[in-house]
Amino acid sequence: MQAEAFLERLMREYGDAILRMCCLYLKDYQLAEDAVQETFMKAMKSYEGFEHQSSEKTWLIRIAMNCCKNVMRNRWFQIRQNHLQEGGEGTEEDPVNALLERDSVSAAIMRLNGNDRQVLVLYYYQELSVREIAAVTGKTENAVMQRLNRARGKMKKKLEEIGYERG
Amino acid sequence: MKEAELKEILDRELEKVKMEDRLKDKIRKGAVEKKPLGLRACIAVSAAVVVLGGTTAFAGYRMLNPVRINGEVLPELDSMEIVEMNEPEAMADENGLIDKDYKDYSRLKEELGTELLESGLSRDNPYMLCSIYTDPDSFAIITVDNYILGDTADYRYIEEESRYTYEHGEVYDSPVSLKADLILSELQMEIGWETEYLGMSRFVESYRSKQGYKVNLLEDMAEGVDPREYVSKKTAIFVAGGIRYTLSGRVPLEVMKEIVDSMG
Repeated sequence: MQAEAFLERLMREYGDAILRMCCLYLKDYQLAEDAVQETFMKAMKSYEGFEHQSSEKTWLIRIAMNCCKNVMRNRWFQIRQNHLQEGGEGTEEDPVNALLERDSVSAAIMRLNGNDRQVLVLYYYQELSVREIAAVTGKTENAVMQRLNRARGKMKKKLEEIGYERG
Repeated sequence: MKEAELKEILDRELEKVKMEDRLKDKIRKGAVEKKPLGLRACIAVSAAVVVLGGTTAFAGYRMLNPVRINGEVLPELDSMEIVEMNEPEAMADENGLIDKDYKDYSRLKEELGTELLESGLSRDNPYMLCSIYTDPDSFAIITVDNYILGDTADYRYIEEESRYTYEHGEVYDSPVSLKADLILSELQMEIGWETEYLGMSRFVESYRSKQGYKVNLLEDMAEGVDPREYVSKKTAIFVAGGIRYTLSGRVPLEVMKEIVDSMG
C-alpha cells in the first residue's frame, strides 16, 4: 500500500511535467509515453537505493533523461532488426506534431539539436540549477554553463525567426 | 518575451500533454517486480541452479541489467561493467548519437580500442556487416551480422535492403551474428540496461561455458513448422569483461555452445 501511495504521489506531482519534458526532448509523443512509463517503473524499483543526495525531482528527472536515451537506442535497434511495427495505437491527434506544425516556443526548442534541447528543457522548463543539471547529465558545471549559453543563443535566433518579440 | 516567462509559455503550449489514465494504469501494472521464470522452466533451470552455485533466479534479487522474455526475468548473468572506448570517428546526429559502419570486426576493434572477444570460428569475410551505435556518454551497441558463416554459402548482396541472401548449409541454416552491449558511464551503470525478447522466444537453459561464462540460451518458437526440418534460431547471451555478448543464428544447440566456447 505504501509503495502504491508513493507511486501515485510521484505521478500526480511530476507526471505531466516529466511527460512534457520527454516530448520536447524526443519530439515524439508515443516515444515520450514509452520513456515516461519506463521512468516511473524504474523509479519504483530503485527508490530504496535513492540516497537523497539530490532532490526527489532531480532524481526523477535523471532517470527520465536516461530512459529517453534508452528509448532512442531501442528504437534504433528495432528498426535495424526490422521489428518495428507499423502504425500507432488509437487515432488521437499527436500533440507534438501539432506543435511542430505551427510557430511556437516548443517548436523552436524542438528544432535544436539534442544536447541543446536537453539543457534548455532542464534549465527553463524543469527550472533546475546548473549544479542540478550537471548531476542529471553527468557533465561538469562548466560544461553545462557553456552548453547553456550556446543553446540560449541558438534558441533566441530560432525565436526571432518565428517572430517572437524580445523581452 | 522574458526568459522567466518561458516555463509559463511552454506549459501553455503543452497544456494538452497530460498523463492520461491509460498511461497511469500501464505504469501501475508494470511497477510490480516481474516474477522469475515460472514452474514450467524449473526443470530446465534446476541443474543450472546447482552449477551456478545457488543462482538468485528464484530469490527476490534486484538486477540492473536484466534480460527478459515476454516479461519473465532470465537467470542472472555476470555483471556488466563500465568499459573504456574511443569515440568513433564520425559525426554525431542531432541527438549526439553516432551510427557508423565498418568493413570488418578487426577495423571496428582497432578504432574503438576496446578489448572485445572474438571467435576462432570467424574468419575475415567480405560478407560481415559491422556497425556501432553509440552515445559516447552512455552506451554503445556493436553489431556484426554474418559474423560466423559456418557452411552457408552463395552470398549475394541486396542493395535495396542492405543485407545479404545466402544458401543454408548442412549444419548452419543461417550465419551467426554477434552483438556487444557496452556501458560507458556511471550514470548508465546506475540506470541499468534491460533487454526484452518479445514474441515467440523461449528459455532453453542456463549453464557455464568452458571459459566460465554464465550463459543463457534461448530459441525461437516458430509455429506450424516441422521440427525435424526446421532449425530454430538459437540465442546465447553472456557477459565477459563487463560486456554483454549476444550470439544468434539458426544452428543446432550444440553448435551454438561450441561457438560460445570459441569466444576468447
